[in-house]
Amino acid sequence: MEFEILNFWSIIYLLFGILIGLIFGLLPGLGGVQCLALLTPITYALSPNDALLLLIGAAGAVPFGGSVTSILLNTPGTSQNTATVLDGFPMTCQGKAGQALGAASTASALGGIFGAIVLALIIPIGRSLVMAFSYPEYFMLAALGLSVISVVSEQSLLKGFISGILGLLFASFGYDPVTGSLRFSFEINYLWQGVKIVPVLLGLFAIAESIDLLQKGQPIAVQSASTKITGIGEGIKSVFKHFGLFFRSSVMGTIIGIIPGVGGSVANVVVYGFAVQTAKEKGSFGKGDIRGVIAPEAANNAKEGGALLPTLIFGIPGGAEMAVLLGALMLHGIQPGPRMLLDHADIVYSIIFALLASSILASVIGLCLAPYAAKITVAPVKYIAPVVFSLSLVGTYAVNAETGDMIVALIFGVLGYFMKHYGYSRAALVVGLVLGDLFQSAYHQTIQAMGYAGFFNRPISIGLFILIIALIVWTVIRYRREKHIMT
Amino acid sequence: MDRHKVSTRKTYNDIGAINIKTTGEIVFNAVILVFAIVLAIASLGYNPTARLIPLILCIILAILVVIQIAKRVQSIWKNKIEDLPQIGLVSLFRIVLWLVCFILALKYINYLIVIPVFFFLFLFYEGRVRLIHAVIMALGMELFYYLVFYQFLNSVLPR
Repeated sequence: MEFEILNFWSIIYLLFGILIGLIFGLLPGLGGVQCLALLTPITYALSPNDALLLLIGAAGAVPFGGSVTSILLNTPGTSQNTATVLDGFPMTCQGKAGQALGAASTASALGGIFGAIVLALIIPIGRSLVMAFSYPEYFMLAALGLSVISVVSEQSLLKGFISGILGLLFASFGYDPVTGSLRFSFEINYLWQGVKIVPVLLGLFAIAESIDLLQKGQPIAVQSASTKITGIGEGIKSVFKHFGLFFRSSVMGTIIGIIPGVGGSVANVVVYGFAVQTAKEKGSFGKGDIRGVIAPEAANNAKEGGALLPTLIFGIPGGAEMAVLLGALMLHGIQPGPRMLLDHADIVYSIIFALLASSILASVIGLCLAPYAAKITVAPVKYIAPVVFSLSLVGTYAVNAETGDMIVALIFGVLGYFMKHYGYSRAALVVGLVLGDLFQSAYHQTIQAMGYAGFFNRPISIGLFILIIALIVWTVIRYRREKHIMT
Repeated sequence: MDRHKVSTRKTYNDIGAINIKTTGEIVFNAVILVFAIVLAIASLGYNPTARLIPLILCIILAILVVIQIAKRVQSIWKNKIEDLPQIGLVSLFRIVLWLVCFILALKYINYLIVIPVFFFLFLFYEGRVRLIHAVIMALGMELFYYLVFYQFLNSVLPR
C-alpha cells in the first residue's frame, strides 16, 4: 500500500470532500457523522489514499460550514457550533456579518492548522496523554463547562440558573448511563434515547428566532450597514489582535479533542465559557463580541486534530465522527492502533496533511462565498422564515428518520420563544443539556471506582478543580468591582 | 386600618390593570414549577443512584422558580413592572399550527409534494407575498430539496 498525497486526483478528492463537508455543515441538523457515514460507501471504489483524503477533507470542513448558518441565521449547522451562535448572530443583527464570518474562517483555519501540528508533534507521546484522563477529570471538565452558565445568563443570574438546571434535567431523560435505569420516559418510546441535542438546538435557536422575526416582520439584520457586506478583513485581523485568546482556545480544543468520548459540542461550550471567564472586559459577550466567535471556532477545528490522536494510536474513537472514520479506515484494511505509527507512518502523515489542507481550503472557500451568503441577512423575513422552518424540521428528521425529532424541535421552538421573551438564557439551557450526561455519568463513575477522594487525589483533576474555583472567585471579584464602578 | 384598606384597594386595582406580559411570565414559571414537581415525583420510583442527581436538580429548580415567582409577584405588588416585550399569542399559535401541519404532512405524504405546497401556502397566506413570487419560491425550493435531499441524501430521508 503506497500513499501519495500530491497527485492530481488526490487533490480533486480532497476538494470534493471539502465541498461536501461544507454543504453538510451548512444544512441544519446534518453534521460530520452523517457526512462521513454517507461518504463511506462512496469510498469503496477508491484507493485507501483517496478515500482518506475525501473523508478527512469532509470532516475538517463541516465545522466551518456549520458556523456560517450559526452566524447568519442563528441556526447552528451542527451541534459543534452551539457557542458560535451566542455572539455570531448578534453581530449579524448589528450588521457585522462579514466581520464575524471573517473571524470565524480565520480562527477555523488557524485552529485546524494548530490541531494538525499538535497531532504531528504529540503522536510519539500521545499514549500517556490519553491515559492521564479518567472519570474525575471528565467530571471536572464538565463542571468547568457548567460554570459558564453564570456568564451566559442574559438578564438575570437566577433565570440563568433556572435555564441551566432545566438543561441538566433534560439531559437526564432516557437511559441512565451508569445504572441503565430508564428515567423520565413517561411510557413514550422516543424518550428512551433521551432528549437529543440537534432537535433541541434547532428548536431553541432557529425555530424560535424565526417565529420572533416573522412576528416583527423585520429582516435578520436591521442596521443599514448590513446591506453592504464589509468588515471581512477586519474580522481576519481580529484573530491576530486576540491571538492569545485564539492560542488558548486552540490548546483547550485540542486537549478536549484528545479525550475520548467528550465530543465537539462540549469543546465548543467549554472553550467559550473559558474565554468569557478569562476576558478582561466580559460585558459584551453574548451581545455580539468578536471574541465569542474566535474562541469556539478555533477550538472546533483544533479539536479535529486532537480527536484523531486516540483514534489512530489506540483505535479508540475521540467522538462519533471518529468512530465512523475508524470504520472507514478498517474497511480499507487499515488497522489503527499502537503499531500504526510504526507500520503505517505514511498514512498518519497523509491524514495530517489532509486535515491541514481541509482547514485552510474550507476557510478560503467559505470566505469567498461569505459576501454572497451574508446577503441572506437583509432578505425579507417572510421568505427566510419558511426556509429556516423547513430546513430545520427536515434536517432534524434526516438524522435519524424519526418524526419525534421534529416534534421535539417544535416544542423547543415554542419554549425558546417564551424563554427569549421572558429573558431566560437559551444558551444556559444548551450548556446544561450538552454537559449533563458527562457530568452525571462521570460523577457516579468516580464515586463507584474511587470514592469522593477520587476527585482530589489525581493531579489533573485537582488542577481543574483549582481552575474552576479560581474562575468563580475571579468572576465574583470582577462582578463586584464593575458594580462598584457603575455605582 | 383605613389606610390599610385604601392601600390594599389601590394595589388591587393595580393588579387588575397589571401588565399581561408579567402575568405571562408567572404562568411560564408556574409551568416550570409543575414540570420540576412532576419529574421529582417520577424520580422517586428509580434506583437511588439513578435518581440522585435528577432529584437534587428538581428540588433546586423548584426553589429557584418559587423565588422567581415571588420576585415577580413582589414587583407587581410594588407596582414596579418591567417592560417585557409583547407576546403575540395569536400569531404564535398560527405559526405553530402551520408547523404542526407541516410535520403531519411530512409523516404521511412524500416530502417532494409537501415542500412546494407548504412553501406556496405559507408564503401566500402567512407571508402575503404576490402569487407569482409564492409560485417561484415554491418551485425553487422544490428543486433545491430534490437535488440536495433526494438526489444527494436519498438514503436517509422520507419518501
